[in-house]
Amino acid sequence: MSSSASYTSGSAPATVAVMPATLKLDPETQQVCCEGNWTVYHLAPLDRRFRDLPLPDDIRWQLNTQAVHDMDTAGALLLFRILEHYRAHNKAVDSKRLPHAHRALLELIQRRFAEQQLADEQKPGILERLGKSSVKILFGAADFLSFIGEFTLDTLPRLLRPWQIRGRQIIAEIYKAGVSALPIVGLLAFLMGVVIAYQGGIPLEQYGANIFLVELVAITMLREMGPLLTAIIVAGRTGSAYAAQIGTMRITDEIDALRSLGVSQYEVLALPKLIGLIVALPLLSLFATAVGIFGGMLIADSLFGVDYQTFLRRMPESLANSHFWVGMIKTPIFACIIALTGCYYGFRVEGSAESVGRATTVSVVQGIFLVITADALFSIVFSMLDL
Amino acid sequence: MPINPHVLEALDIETRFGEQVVHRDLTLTVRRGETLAIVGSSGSGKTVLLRELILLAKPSRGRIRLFDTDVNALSEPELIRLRSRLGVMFQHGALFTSLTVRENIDFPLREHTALGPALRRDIALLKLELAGLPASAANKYPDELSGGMIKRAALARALALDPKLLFLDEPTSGLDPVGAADFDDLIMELKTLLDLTIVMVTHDPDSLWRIADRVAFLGEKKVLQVAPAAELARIDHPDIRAYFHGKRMQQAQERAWKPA
Repeated sequence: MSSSASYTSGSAPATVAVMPATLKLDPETQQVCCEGNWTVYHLAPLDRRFRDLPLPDDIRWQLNTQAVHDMDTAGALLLFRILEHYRAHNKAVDSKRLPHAHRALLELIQRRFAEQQLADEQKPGILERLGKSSVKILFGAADFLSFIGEFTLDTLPRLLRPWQIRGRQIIAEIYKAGVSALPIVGLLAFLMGVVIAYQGGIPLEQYGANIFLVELVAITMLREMGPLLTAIIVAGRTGSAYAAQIGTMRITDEIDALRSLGVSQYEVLALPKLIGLIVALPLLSLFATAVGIFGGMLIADSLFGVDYQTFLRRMPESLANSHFWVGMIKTPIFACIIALTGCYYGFRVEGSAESVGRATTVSVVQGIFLVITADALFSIVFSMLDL
Repeated sequence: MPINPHVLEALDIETRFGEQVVHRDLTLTVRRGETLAIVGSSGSGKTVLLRELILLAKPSRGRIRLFDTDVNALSEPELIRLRSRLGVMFQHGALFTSLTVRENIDFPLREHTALGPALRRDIALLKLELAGLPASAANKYPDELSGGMIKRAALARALALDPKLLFLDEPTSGLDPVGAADFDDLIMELKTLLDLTIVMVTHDPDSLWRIADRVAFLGEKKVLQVAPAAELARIDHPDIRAYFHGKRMQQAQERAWKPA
């Protein structure tokens, strides 16, 4: 094989007719004859079935690669495996009389593989994986708590010097998390109000109790749906963005750069987000609640004969103010949960692009999970307080 | 059919981004079996040229012929096939961070061949060996490797499909002097072993003197001169003089002439 021949055959796929690598036993001359293209693209058929081929019946057979069109390291590796296969069946073949180029390749492979039997990849067993993931979850919770502690220690003193807080950045965060979320939050809250009024209206109408639609829609929206719906949307929209932004900055070493410049990463990255969201989420919830009640009102008027005036007059008469406050008081807590989980998973990103993606997903799932858990806790506390 | 001595020919290349002209009437040919280094000061369009040669970017005008095939005439599927026949080692490795080193090398094998997993695994480990990495690196992720090991793993991936033409983008950048010299040795060894043609973009004076057969100097938006480093150093052109008579280049030249 000359080096020039290898170019025309191995590298110009469009023009050369391709012969896959083949292996033949010739009993007359007692030769194992290799033919065709022994290059990485043309080995697959032979690789699949060389173990099923007949073995030479003697140990005096010779290997003949004169008819091989081209051979690369992958081809030589397959040839090496075939020779090993023969040897394992005590039918070793004489490979001394190969063309120079082929022998050089084969020797290269023998040299590399003779020294070491390659270490097998160790797949951990099921118990090991179970144990590992349990420990991970356990330490994960502790790790989250320690993040909150670290964050608080770092930022609490700064809150005592409010002129040092980055107002401009906070406003930007409020805009990103709050103002630009208005359309989607509004639309979903409106639809939610429509659905609640419509679904609740039908059974109420059977009892002639249409007027109670006011309580149904207003209480659900004020106490639960408004804050919860908003928090879930914001967790998906903003919490994930926090995790992705901070995670990417970790990969590009920007966080380390911040720290080495003597700036706290929590102060620059997490605190403005937290404060911004604490401001934005209650306002968003308020907006969502109002739009949701409006949606319910629309249905009450058009389908169940409760007109706008009646609806609006009845609301303050029959509802205690506490419903509003019970809903609103939850929202800053939700904001803390969302901002802190987003930032936490962002700061915990290690190494790869994939881990940014994972952090983003986990931050959303964890954020929503914690928001709903907190909501359930609030319900229990409020019912104990008779609110 | 006479055999074309050139594996790669770039003829009358013009590259422009909007108003800005990067190359004008640039012509560069790569001979079979040689190691060609592309040099030039920063901003002379080395990286753009490299991207055009490895078919990732299309020049605004001009022809590129690879393995006697006119690249302009190829359809996208044919281009994809042709690209897979080039080995490319990117400057920062560009290893897939979500895959282990072995899976990185395995990736092109999986995509472009129908080989069984056992043979693919051995090929990957062989390439790992050839690139001078211990077998223990096989199951590590890129972020667990040092800079030098990442370069070697990237080289192993570039060699996965036994390309005849290998492109290296600043192979020794970011390595310490000892590591860089080792890497140069490795490239020379693999070149003879695997019968490679190598095109590399480099800033490393030592690599120029030690492993490049010819050096193509980019300047004034074209290839000013292609010659062995020793000849190039004697050429009387202000840009080339400035490049070759810098202090580090001189020291590298002295080192290269010293018997090893």
